[in-house]
This record gives sequence, structure tokens and C-alpha cells, in this order.
Amino acid sequence: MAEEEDKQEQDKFDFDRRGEAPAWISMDQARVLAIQHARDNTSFYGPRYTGMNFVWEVLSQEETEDYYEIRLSFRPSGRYRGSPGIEQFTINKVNGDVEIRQILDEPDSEDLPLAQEVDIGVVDQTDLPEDGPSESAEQDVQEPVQDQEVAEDEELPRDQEPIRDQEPVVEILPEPEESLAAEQSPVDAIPVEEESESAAVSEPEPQSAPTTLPNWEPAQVLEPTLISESQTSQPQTQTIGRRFSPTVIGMSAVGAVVAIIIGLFASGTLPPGPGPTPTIPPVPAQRESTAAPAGGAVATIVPDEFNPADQLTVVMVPPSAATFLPWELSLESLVSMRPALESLIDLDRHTGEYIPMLADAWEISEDRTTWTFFLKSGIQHHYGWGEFTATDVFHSIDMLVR
Amino acid sequence: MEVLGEYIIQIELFRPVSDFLSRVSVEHNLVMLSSAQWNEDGEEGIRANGPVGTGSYSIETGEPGVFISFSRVEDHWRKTPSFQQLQIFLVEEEATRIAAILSGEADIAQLFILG
Repeated sequence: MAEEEDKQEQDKFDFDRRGEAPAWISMDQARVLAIQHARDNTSFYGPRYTGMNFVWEVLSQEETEDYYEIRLSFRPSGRYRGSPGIEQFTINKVNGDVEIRQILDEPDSEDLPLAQEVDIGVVDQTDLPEDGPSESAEQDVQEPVQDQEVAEDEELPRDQEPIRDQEPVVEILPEPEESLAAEQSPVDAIPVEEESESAAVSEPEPQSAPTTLPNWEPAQVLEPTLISESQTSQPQTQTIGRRFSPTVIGMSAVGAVVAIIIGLFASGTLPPGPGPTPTIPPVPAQRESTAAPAGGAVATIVPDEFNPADQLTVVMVPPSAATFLPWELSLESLVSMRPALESLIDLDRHTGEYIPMLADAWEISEDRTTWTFFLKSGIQHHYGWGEFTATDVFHSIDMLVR
Repeated sequence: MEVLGEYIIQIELFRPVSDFLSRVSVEHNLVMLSSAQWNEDGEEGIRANGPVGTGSYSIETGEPGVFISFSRVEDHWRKTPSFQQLQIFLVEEEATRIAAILSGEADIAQLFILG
């Protein structure tokens, strides 16, 4: 214990409240404290954010007689475009304890990165362990002001025991190099600038995992190529046998997956690396065997010119009824048949504008109650069922809109 | 609703509908079906074979609620897809969809793991 304190005083005298430091901590220190505390206790945000890296910014700082009130914004690091969450720290001026921590606002979940890695069954590495000779130096650096006194604070997790087992977990968390680098210097440890994307992903298991997909064999499967984007250092191109490496699309709304799939149908190609790289939530068993490469490789399906594959396989949620009759399904459920069916009007995938599809043009009357659609000519139905005409529009709307 | 010509159709509303364009667009999946198929094959034909439309894939075979197998339409009027075949498996359990994507059996999976 004594050595620990000495060490901390050497490294961290700025923040040590028992040494020659002033009788109370400064606002500057409180601000750093708040960010450090937030960074080291991200489990406070709840299981939904487990395994994510965050970026914090100070929104406001106020001083009362005995406390500092620091407001931080927090958001997942990387290409996150949603609104950040907001949390408030009440920090004791005298000893720097985090007396109160409250989440005032959560990040806008609609815009959370797709399919963030979920560390199932992983002990939160950021929980503060009690000081002891067995703790690593990084832990001490990472936690400069939170010594054992703070560890007894009610703000800190009490389940100290499992934390002892965290070491192997830490190794396989995403971006270990960057985390360590950030922790090596107490100054650099303030993670405001941290922009590391949590992009570790498990490689697909080479052996086929058991699934209960219907027992239907596709006619032919070629060998597609794919590009692996490595988040660490070496981007690599590789071919993985028979199939695309999986791409997971995590969605909080059906609309999003619909948009992507429909985009595929429309263009016949997969979007090359859209937005934040999706990651796969590994099941615990797979973590052991697949997490070895730091950072991991993320597979993205390449544009068609590189892609000799001729088959795409999609798994999606079943429609509202097990039928091929479109009018027995909800309009929403028709998405699974959308590859075969078009509408009068399309949406521009980039601008969101309504653009012509089967209708070339449309106009609305002065009183806004009469719409006229002018259709494209020469468009053929499948299997020789003839040209698409206004009669088909009448029939379709008649059957589907009731 | 009135067919004014081979390629013109007019729709009258009881009152203005602000999102009407959205409702007839892909946004609401208001898809266009073949009236000829309906007239000649009737409901049973469509129930058995799936609907005929103008999309860049045509429904080849399938089992309602289980899977749909599509093949691409060559020289499609918009863009001919790169993939000759498209299989859509309809899987209720999210765990199974995850397993399919992890095993490489599926290329795209609809997942709700953040939900």
C-alpha cells in the first residue's frame, strides 16, 4: 500500500489530495476527474453500451460552496452522428470524490452505430479494483485519484471479486494497443481526443455453425472475394471460401434494413463499406478462439466489378402471414417480395427525394385532391405477362389499399 | 381512381393528403402487381407461384413464410442486378439469424441486437 501511494505521488502529485496539494482540488482537476471517472466506469451507462468506446466533452462547469458541478457530453467514439448523452458529476471540492453522478440524457439511440460489439458475459474492466500489489501499473495510471478511499465510495461498484479475473478479458477487448497507449501517460490518459473506433470483429468460424435454416440448397455458389478492412494497421484483401464473410446489420428499425435491402435490389450491388463498420456480437465461446487478432478484420462485400459471386443470401424476419398473396400481407411485410415488385415512385437513397420509378411524372391539382400519374412505357412484367400499364396500377391499388 | 389512358392514371382523394406521395412510393411498399396474372391465373395461381411484377428479380420458387428464391431479370429496365440468384430466408428467431450470418450461410441478416 505504501509503495502504491508513493508511486501515485510521483506520477500524479497534481491530483493527490494528501500530499502538498492545496486543501481543495481545483476546477481543472475536477473536470479531469469527471472525465476519468466517466471513462473508467462506462458500465454506468448500462449494458447496452458495454464494450463501446466513448468520447467526452465538458459542457459546463459550476462551483458551489463545497462542490463542483461538471456536465459532460458523452457519445460513442468514431463516426457517430447522433446526439450525445449528457451526464452530470458532483465532485467534492475537498477530497475530489465523485459524490453524485447522473445521466441527464442518453445518446440518441436511432443513430447509434450499427451493431456495436457486445461483450457478452464480460466483466466490466473499468470497475475500479482495490489497490493491491497485484494490480497492474496501467490500472494505477488510469485511476490516479481513485485510491482505496475512493474505492469505498458508494459510487463505485462493490463487486470487487470478479474484477480479479479481468485480465484475459482486457486482452481481447477491441483496440488494446490504443487503450494502453492512452493510459501510459497520465496527461494523455484524458480521453477527450480519443477517436478509436470500436471495430473489432470476430472472423467467421470456418466450420459451419449449426443453424436451422430451411434445408434448401442453392443451385450454385461461386467464390466471391471480399475486402477486409483492418482497423489496426494492415488493410488486407483476402478470399474466404465459398461465401461472403458475414455482414451483420444491426437495426433498431425495420425501415433501415428495408432501405439497405431495397438498395441492393435496386442497384444489384452491395454498398461498399457504408458508414460505421458493423461488428458482430460474439458469443462467449467464440470469443476465445476468434478474438486473437487485435482490432480484428472487418469484412465488407466489395462492389460488383470485383465480385464474381452470383448469389446473395438474406435472412430476415418473416412477413405478417405465410402467404404469397400480396394483399393478405401488411404493406410493411411486402418487403420480402420487394425484389420482384416495384412502385410508382422511388426514393433517392442519398437525398431522400421522391424520384420516378414506374411513374415518369406526376402532378397534383390546384385543390390538392387529384393526383395524376404518367407512367413509363415499355416496361415488361416477368415471365411474359405483358407490359405494365395504368390497368395494373388500378388493380394494385385496388387490391392493396383497402 | 380512373384510368385515363394506357399510361395515365388519376387518383382522387376525399381531401388533401400530405404524405400521399410517400404512400404510393416504395416507402410504403405500395407495389405494382400484374393485373393480367390476376385475371388469368386468379388468386390460386398467385398464391402458388407468387406475384408477378416488374422488379429486377422475379420470384422463381419458394415456400410462403419460409423462403423465397428469386432470379434476376436480364436486361432489366432500370439496372440488371449483379447477383443472378437471390435467396431470402424468413427466420423468426433472431438467434437463428445470427447463427446464419456467423456461419456464413447468409450474407445479410436483419438483426435487432441494439433494440
